[in-house]
Amino acid sequence: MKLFIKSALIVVYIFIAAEFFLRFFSPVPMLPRYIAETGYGIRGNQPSTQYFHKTPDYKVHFKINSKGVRADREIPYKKSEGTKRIIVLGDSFGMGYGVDLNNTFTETASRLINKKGIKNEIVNLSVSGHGNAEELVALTLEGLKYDPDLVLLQFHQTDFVDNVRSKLYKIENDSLVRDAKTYLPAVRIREKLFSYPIYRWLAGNCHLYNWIRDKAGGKTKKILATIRGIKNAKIKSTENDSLKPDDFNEKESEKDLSYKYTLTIAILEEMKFVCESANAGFIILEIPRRVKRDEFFNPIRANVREQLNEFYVLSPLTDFQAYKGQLLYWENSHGHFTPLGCEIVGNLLANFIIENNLLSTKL
Amino acid sequence: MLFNSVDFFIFFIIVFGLYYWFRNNLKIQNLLLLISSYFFYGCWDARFLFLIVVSTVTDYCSGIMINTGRLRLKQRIIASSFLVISLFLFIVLDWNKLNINLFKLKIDVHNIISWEGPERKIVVWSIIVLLIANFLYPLFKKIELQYRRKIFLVISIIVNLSLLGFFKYYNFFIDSFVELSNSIFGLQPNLWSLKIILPVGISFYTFQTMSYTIDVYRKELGASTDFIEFATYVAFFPQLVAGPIERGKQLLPQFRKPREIARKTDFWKSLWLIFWGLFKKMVVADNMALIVNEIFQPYDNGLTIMPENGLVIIVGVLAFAFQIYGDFSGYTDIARGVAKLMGFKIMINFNLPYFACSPSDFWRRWHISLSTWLRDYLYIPLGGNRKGKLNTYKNLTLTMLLGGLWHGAAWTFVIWGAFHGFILVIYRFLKIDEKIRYFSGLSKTGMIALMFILTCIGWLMFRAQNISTIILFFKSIVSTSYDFVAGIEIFRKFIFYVWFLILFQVFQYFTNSLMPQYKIHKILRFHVWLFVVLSIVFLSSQEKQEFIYFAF
Repeated sequence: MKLFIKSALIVVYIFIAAEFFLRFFSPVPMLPRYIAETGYGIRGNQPSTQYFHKTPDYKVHFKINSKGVRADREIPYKKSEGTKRIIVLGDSFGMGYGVDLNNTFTETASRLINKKGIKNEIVNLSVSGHGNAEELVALTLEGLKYDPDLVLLQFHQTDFVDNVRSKLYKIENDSLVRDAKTYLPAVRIREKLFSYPIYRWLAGNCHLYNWIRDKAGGKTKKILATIRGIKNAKIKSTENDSLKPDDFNEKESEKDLSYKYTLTIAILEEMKFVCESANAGFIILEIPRRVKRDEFFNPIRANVREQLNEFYVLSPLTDFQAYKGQLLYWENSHGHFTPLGCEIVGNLLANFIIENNLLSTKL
Repeated sequence: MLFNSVDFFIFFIIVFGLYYWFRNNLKIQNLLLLISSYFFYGCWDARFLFLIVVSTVTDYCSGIMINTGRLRLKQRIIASSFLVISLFLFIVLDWNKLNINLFKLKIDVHNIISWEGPERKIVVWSIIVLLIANFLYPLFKKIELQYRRKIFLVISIIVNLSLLGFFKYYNFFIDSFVELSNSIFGLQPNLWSLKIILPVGISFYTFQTMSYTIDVYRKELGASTDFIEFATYVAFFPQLVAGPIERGKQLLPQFRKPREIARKTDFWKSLWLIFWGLFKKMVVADNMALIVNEIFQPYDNGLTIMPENGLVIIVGVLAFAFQIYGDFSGYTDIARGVAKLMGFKIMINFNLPYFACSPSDFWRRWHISLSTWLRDYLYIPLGGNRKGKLNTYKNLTLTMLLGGLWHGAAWTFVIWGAFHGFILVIYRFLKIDEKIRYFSGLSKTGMIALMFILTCIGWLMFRAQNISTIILFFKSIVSTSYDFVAGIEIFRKFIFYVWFLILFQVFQYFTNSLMPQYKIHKILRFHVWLFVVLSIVFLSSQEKQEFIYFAF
C-alpha cells in the first residue's frame, strides 16, 4: 500500500513538473473549441458562451451570441433599414481564430466598406472545422434567415477532403443530392466533456492536457490517413508535385481525387444558386496555404479554378507575396492569420466588394 | 532505422526480450545479435549487407591464416556458404520490392528476384573469386609462415580499402581528375563515371575489421575461429553504422564469455546513457540543425553572395559545433547504453572535447576511437615522433589529412584535416602542450577558450559544402558590420537548446566524471533525470535529422 501511494505521488509530481516545464519552456497553444449540435444536424458554435484562446503569441477573447455567431451583440434575423448584410461562411479562419473580433478580416472589410458610405454588417456563421458541405447546410437552413445581400465563402484547402468526409452531399447521376441527414463528429462527446467545469478548465488552462490532445489528435489523423492511403496504394496519384499540402493523400486514387473535386464544385455551384435565388451576391475567398514565411500557394488548383469561371474568386496570394518575410500567419499557434494578415485580407475584400459593386444587388 | 525512432524502440524491445530469453545460451545469443544486426542494417539498404559479408569473410579467413596458417575444411565451408547465402539474400533478392502491407502480405516472387543487370555480374564474379580462393588454398598453405602472414595482411587491407575506396572515394577522385584536366589542359575526358551510393557506416566497419587483422598480425590478438562470433563483432548493431570503431581485443572477447544483463545501478546507468544520448541528439543536435541549415543551406545550393551579418555566421558556426557534438556523441551514448543493457562494454568515444586546451588534447577527447586508430595504425607506423622534428610534423600533417579524408570525399574535409594538422604542428613547435601543465586556472581557461575558437574555425570548414562558402563566411565574419538585433535573436534560439548541455558538461568537467549525477543527492538526481526526459518529450525538434556520421 505504501509503495502504491508513493508511486502514485511520484506520478502526480511528474505530471505537475511536466505542466510547469511546458509553461516555462514550451507553452502550448490553448484553443478550446466550444462546439455544439445545431438544430439542423451539423456542428455550430456553442451559443451564449465566452472563452479565451491563449497561445505563446496571443490571448484572444471569444464571445458567441445566442445564435452561435461570433459577435459582441445579438443579431436579429430582420436587418435594419438601409443596412446591407454580409453572411460569412467558413472555418476557424473565417471565425477569426488568432485575432480579436475587431481585427478579423471580415470586421476590417466591413469597417472599410462603411467608410465608403455603404452601411453594412457582418453575420459570421463560420465554425471551426466546417467544410463547404456544412456551410451549404448552414446557409440554406440558417444563413438565409438573415436575408443576406452578399455571402462570403472562405475556402480552405481542407474543404476538399471535408466535403467528402462529411457525406452530407453526394453526386448521383451527375447531380448534387443530399445524403446523410447529420454530420456531428464527436460533438456529443465534446458537449458532454465541456459540461464539466474541470474539463473546461483543463482545455482552457492546462498546457499538458492540450499538448497530449494535440499529439493524440495528430497521430490519429496520421494513422487514419495511412490506412486510407494503403487501401489505394497501387494506384498512382495525379497530384501535381509542386504542391505538397499535408492533408492531401498522396496515394489517393484518380477516381477518388476526381470525385473530391467534382463534389466540391457541385457544392459551390449549389451555394451560388441558393444565393442567386435569394438575390444575394456570392464570393469565394481563398485562404493561401503557407509553406514558409515568404512562400504560399492557393488551395484551389488550376483545373478546379477553370470550372469556377462564373464565380467571384478572390485570393490575397499576390498581396501576401508583397509582404514577404513579415508575419502574416501565427507560427506557433496553429497557423491562423495575424492581425497584419487579417488587415491585408480585409483591405482586399473591401476593395473587391466596392469595385465590383457587390452590395448593390438588392436594396 | 534511427536510434531515435519508434521502429528502433520496437526492434530493440523484441531483440532484448529474446536476448534475455536465451541468457543461458551464448551461441544462440550471438546468432541472435548477428541476425538482428543484419536486420538493423538492412533497414537502410539490404544490398550493402553483402559488403559487410565480404569484409567479414575476408578478415575471418585472413585472421586465421595470419595466426595459424591453416583454415579447417569446416571453417572454409562455413565462410564460403555464408558468402553464397548472402549473395542470394542480399544481391539476388530485391528487398525494396517486398511491399509489406499492414492488411495483406502479398509477395510476387518474380518481382523480388533481381537477376538482370549488375546483380548477375556480382554473383558470377563472387562465385569465381570464391572458387579460385578455395582452389588456391592448398598453395597458400605451402607458403612460408612469414610471407603467408604478410600476404594475408595485405589481402585484408586491399579488400577493405578497395571497398572503402570504390564506394566512398571513386566519384571524388574521378570528378577531381576531370576538373583538373579541364582547368590545366582544357580537356574534358569522357571517363567512366558512376552514380555510387555511399553505404552507411562503411568507414567504420572497414576500419574496425582492418584493425582486427593488423592486431592479429602484430600478435596482439588471437584470431577468432568462431565465424558467428566474428561476424557479430563486425556487424554488432549498436556501433555498426557510426562507431565507436571497436578494437578486436576489446570487443571480441565479450562475445566469447557469458554476459550479464545490466541490473540495478548498471541498468540505470545504461538507461541514463540512452536518454542522455537522445537528449543530445533530439533536443540539442536536431534543433541546432534548424539554425545551421538556415544559414548554410543557401550556400550549399550555390549562393555566392557574402552574408551581410557576420554575427549570424558566428552563431551558425557555434550552433554547428553543438550540432555535430550532440549528434555524434549522442549516437555513441545511445550505442553504449544499448550495448551496456545487454552486458557489453563499448569504449568511450567522447570525453568533453570542448574542454580541450590544445589540439592534441582535443583529439584525445573527440572521436577517440578514430584518433587512437589513426595513431596506432598510421601515425606510429609512419614513424610517429621518433625520427626528428620535421618528420614528426610531416607525420602529424599526413595523419590529419587522411583523418580529414576519412570523414568524407570532399576537399573541404581535406582542408579541415590540414587545418588540424597545422594547429597540431604549431602547438608542438611552440611546446604549448608541455607548458599548459604549469598554467594556472585562468590561463588554462583561456587556452580552453582559444582551442574552442580554433575548433569552431575547423567546423566552419567541415560544414561548408564548398571552398567558396568557407572564404565567403570568413570574409563575412571579419569584414561585415554586426547587426546585433538579428544576431541576438538567433543566439537566443541557440542558447535555449544548449544551456543545459553546457551546464551539465561544466559539472562533468569539475567533478571529473561523465556521470556526475551519482555524486549528488538522489532527489537532485531525480530532477536531472526528469528534466532530461521532459526535454526529450517536449523540446525535441519536429524535423528529424539523420545522424551526421552516417554519411562518413
